[in-house]
Amino acid sequence: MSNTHQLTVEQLEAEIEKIAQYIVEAKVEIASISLPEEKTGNEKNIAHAALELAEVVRHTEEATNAIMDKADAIILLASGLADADTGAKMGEHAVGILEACSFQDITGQRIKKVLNTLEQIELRISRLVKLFGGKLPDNLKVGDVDTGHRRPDEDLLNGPQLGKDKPSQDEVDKLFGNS
Amino acid sequence: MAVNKSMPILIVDDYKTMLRIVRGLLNQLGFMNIDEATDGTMAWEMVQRKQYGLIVSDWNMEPMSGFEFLKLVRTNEATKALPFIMVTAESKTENIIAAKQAGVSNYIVKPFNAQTLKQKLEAVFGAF
Repeated sequence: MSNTHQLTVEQLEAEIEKIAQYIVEAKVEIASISLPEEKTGNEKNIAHAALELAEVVRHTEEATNAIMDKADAIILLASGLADADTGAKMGEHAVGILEACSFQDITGQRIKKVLNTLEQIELRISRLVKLFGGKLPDNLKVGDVDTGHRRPDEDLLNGPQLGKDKPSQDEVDKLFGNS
Repeated sequence: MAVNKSMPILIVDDYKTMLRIVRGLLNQLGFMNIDEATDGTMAWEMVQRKQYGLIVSDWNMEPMSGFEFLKLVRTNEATKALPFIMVTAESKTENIIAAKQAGVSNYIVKPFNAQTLKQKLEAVFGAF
């Protein structure tokens, strides 16, 4: 073996010290991702991202209900109009507004999928923290990692598909045997 | 067969918004006798207490999904022939096949409109 790649004891100690420093820094970085806001003082962590998404769901639901209240009011007004044709057209448009409000269900399900993913990332980071010998946040337990089999039909629960993969109702009908 | 528009209908969804939309669309089609449940467990209890003419159910709910609820309905002597329409965002081929094999009467993919709902009701009950 050539002597050109051999390290002195001092060089070896310096390298080990560098690696140890990297590990310490990695521990701090990893822990800060999953720690609650009050312990890190910043809002750029997973726990806060989950709270923000939950707020999006709540606000969207409130707004959707407000829109549907107005659509219902229009349907009621339209049914009482003396001009029946105009009333029917108004009612049709208001029903269209109701139909469009189903976006809240779809976006809610998509956000729930993202929240579940964030939760899994947080739990896995916590496992890393524990492996490094760090202390886990009080609200997390390593054993909580999802096995993906909590419900009998878990394998069939995928939520809304991405636009490019989502079949049309006609395609579903063909598969179902309606056409 | 002529559809009885006064028949009791059970709609099942964990999103209040969807319950309200489905109720509104059914109302537009002339169906006014509508009860609501927010998951399969609650729906199963209601089905055992009251005789419904139709169930319109979501799939992805907790603790009991619409699929598990469908299977219960189909294995019970008193409810096995009850028309059951699945209205869901689960649109993969395996979902549709599994629901059909479990005995679902028809399958609607969210988002949907009043016309689609009417078509599926007519497929189950005949034109109205």
